[in-house]
Amino acid sequence: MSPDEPIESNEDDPSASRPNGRSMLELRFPSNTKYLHMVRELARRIAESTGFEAAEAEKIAMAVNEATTNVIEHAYHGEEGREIEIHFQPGGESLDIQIIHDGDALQEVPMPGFDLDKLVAERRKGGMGIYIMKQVMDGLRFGKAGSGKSMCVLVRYKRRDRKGE
Amino acid sequence: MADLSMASERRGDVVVIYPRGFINAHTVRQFEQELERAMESGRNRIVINGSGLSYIASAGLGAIMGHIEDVRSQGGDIRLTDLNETVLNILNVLGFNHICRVFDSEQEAVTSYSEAASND
Repeated sequence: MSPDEPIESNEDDPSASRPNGRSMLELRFPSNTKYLHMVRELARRIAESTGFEAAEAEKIAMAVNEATTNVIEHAYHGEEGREIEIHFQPGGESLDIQIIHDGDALQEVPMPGFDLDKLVAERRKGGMGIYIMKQVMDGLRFGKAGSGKSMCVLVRYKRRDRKGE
Repeated sequence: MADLSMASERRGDVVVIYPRGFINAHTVRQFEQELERAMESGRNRIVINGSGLSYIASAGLGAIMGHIEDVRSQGGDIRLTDLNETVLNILNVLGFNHICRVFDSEQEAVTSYSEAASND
């Protein structure tokens, strides 16, 4: 896929469904930061259309933006034109989002007591993405997606008290 | 419309930066260059007026974090004003308002520097 190839989505494809019965919206695009804004806006709209309040949908969009940025910068090390897939699976109680890539596997960095003061003192420009994802989502995990691919899974419940059920 | 456009204006010894659009990993370099331009010209009292900013991702906040200690060591600061709810939200998530002072208006943000100087 070339970096300028347009984003593909199968939103209108009636065959886009999952074995668990959840309908799925799938997005496939080349690794390039120029698509981040579009991905963020799409995530926000999907969250809104699946029943999240506007402010909650903004937070979900924020997390998807951070996760996708991590894939481009850390899994693909900024290389353009590699493939990223995002699967949005809205369910009755949650929205599950998988960000799939075939770059370096990412993993959750242990963050015992996120310390913004320390990052500032060290003049660090990064290190906040995973913290943001953990704060605004109910689930975050990294794993294998099959065919040698890796994925980051974000889960957000409509009722946050359902976290961990 | 461009993803991000930048403008700056001087208010006495304070430089006010006006980002218009959004700041994410794609546009952050433009934002960072504007900060660096202000610092290189010796203007370390910086206000970022976010009235034209639709959102900022962690990449944008990282640009502020990467420079704020340098401007503070020169007697300056980076202060924020006129932020929308989306931007305030990410600041709250990170506790960034503990790092950066946030004002309701540009005038308050600009005059906060002279108040600090008169208290010295």
